[in-house]
Amino acid sequence: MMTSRLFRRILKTLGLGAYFTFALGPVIWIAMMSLKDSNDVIASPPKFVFTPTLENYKAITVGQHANNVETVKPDYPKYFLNTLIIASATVAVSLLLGTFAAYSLARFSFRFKEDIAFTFLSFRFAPELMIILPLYVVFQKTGLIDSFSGLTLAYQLITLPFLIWVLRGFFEDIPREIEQAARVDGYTWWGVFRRISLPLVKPGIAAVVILSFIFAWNNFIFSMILGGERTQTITLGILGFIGYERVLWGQMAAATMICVIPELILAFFVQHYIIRGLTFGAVKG
Amino acid sequence: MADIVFRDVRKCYGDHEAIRDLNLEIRDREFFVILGESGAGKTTTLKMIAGVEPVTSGEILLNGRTIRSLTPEERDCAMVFETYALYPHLSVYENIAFPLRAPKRRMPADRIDQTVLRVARVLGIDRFLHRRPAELSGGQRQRVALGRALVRQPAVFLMDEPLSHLDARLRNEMRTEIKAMRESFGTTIVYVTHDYSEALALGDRIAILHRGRIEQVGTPSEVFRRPLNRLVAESLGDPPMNFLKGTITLDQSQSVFARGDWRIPLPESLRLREYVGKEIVLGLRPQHIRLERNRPDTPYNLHSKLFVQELTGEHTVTSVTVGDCLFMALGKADTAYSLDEPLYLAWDPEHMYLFSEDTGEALLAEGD
Repeated sequence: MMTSRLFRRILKTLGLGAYFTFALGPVIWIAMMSLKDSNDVIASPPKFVFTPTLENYKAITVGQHANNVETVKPDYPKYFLNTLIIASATVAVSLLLGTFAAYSLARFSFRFKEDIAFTFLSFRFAPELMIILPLYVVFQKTGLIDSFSGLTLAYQLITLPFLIWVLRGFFEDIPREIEQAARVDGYTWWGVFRRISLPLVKPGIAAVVILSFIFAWNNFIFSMILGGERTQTITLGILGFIGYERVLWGQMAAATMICVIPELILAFFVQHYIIRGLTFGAVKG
Repeated sequence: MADIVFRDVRKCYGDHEAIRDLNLEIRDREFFVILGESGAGKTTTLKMIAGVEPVTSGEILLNGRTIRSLTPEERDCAMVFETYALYPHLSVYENIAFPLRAPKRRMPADRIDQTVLRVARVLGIDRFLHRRPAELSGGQRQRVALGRALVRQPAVFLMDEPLSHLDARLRNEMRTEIKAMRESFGTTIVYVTHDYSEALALGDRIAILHRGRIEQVGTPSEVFRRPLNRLVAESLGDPPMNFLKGTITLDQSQSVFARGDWRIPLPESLRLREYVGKEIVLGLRPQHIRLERNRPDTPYNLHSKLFVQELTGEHTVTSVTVGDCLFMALGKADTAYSLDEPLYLAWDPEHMYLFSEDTGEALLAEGD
């Protein structure tokens, strides 16, 4: 009895350890790479003990010269800012449109409701590569190419359907009678939406904001084809470290580490809204 | 101050007709009870008055004016929902204060505070004001729901089973409270319940709703003593009225209720004459039946055997078999009978009810 319990615990720990290594190993490796100088990075066998340096971070942010290393013109801060603008604008637009769309789909009945809902969903399972060429032509003709508004628009394809479908579920979970009660209590439709419905879907909004932001932040293909010099994003910027003659592994790793930071910060601040069962206790049964 | 009139109101959910041709007048300052089993359309009726469920056809008039075009917030109703419908993200205090903070009312903060505290004290929930609904028991939640309606002085109170989840002692207390409140507010109250004793105790008038149709409207004593049909008779009383099928026959020009060998004389009336030879149903309330060991000295009796006896505090419910029917009699808790003991049921003729088997229409009621 005792041994089988012990055995199970060991197995569990080993399993968790294996997954931990699998999931976090690459992250730790990249973090280490970002702190190595150019020789240590390509050392074979790989070095686990080395003198850490912040040169890579310096090079991509302020562009300091380091011995032996050809400095890349530090466009990285600009890419970072571009991505921040595009991702934030994308989430903002999606949230504004998506919240109302989700509420309508959850509460009102109108013709072709389910068809419209399915059309939104279908944007999610169409591969981006499939629509990128026609979209490119449209963008070129309308002058949206390499513009922040154009990219924000294109990114809606990634975030908006997702946001609508998740929030629709959250709105549907609010018992109708709560909204009816608030109407009877003397509030207009808008008053009820603002004071009752919206606060009740806060956990859902928090979840979709984080995920939408990550989707937008990580997007590659839209910014590669529809973006340009002016709007280049961080994902493309990282690719730029692969040069004709050499690959700047250390700087690439440093760029990647910085790239993750906004997502972490956002997740940290928003996560406490994600509480399950907020509507519990509203109605009996 | 409000009277409410329903004129040919119909309500459909898809193909399902929830309310059929509802015609009803609820008078100003009246305590009007709608009684019916679940699914009868009681809640729908209230929601149509409140304006949160649209009327499919027909009109509802409030003070003589149609309210079709008025939004819920313009109708000035306060409603207690059967499901409570509390706001889960707000504290009990904020739940109760919510209607007072509505943009149209603009009540100053100190008056809101006074009103909320007064109502909370009456309902005994002043100790929970900072809690969220999820942290309350069912009965406490129901009181919050009640409080949210009582803080206002609306034109109409709509109450959907507001006492269903309170324990017996609190229910009686709240019943009295509601009745007293009504005297002091002078507001029209439409009260929905499935509990006939609550309906009889509270209502100035009662409407019995069955499958979306009003079966009868009247004062408590009218509907209890003179039900228009079998459905109404059945829904008022616990244990419910006993029924026995039979026919009307003529026995030496006297009409009698006949079943097998049993003959029970009926009072002379032209109405009953029309039913000679037809199937009818005899109805007797449990509290009107006397059980006797020896054959009683009255033609108003039936022969039976004891089936089960249940003691319910002060009373016993005695179930007996009359032929192949089960009858229940309500008596004092002092006599014990043995199983299969032959017993006679006896009653006074004025307590006899007769219904048509076909239509359920009442042919004879108390006092006829």
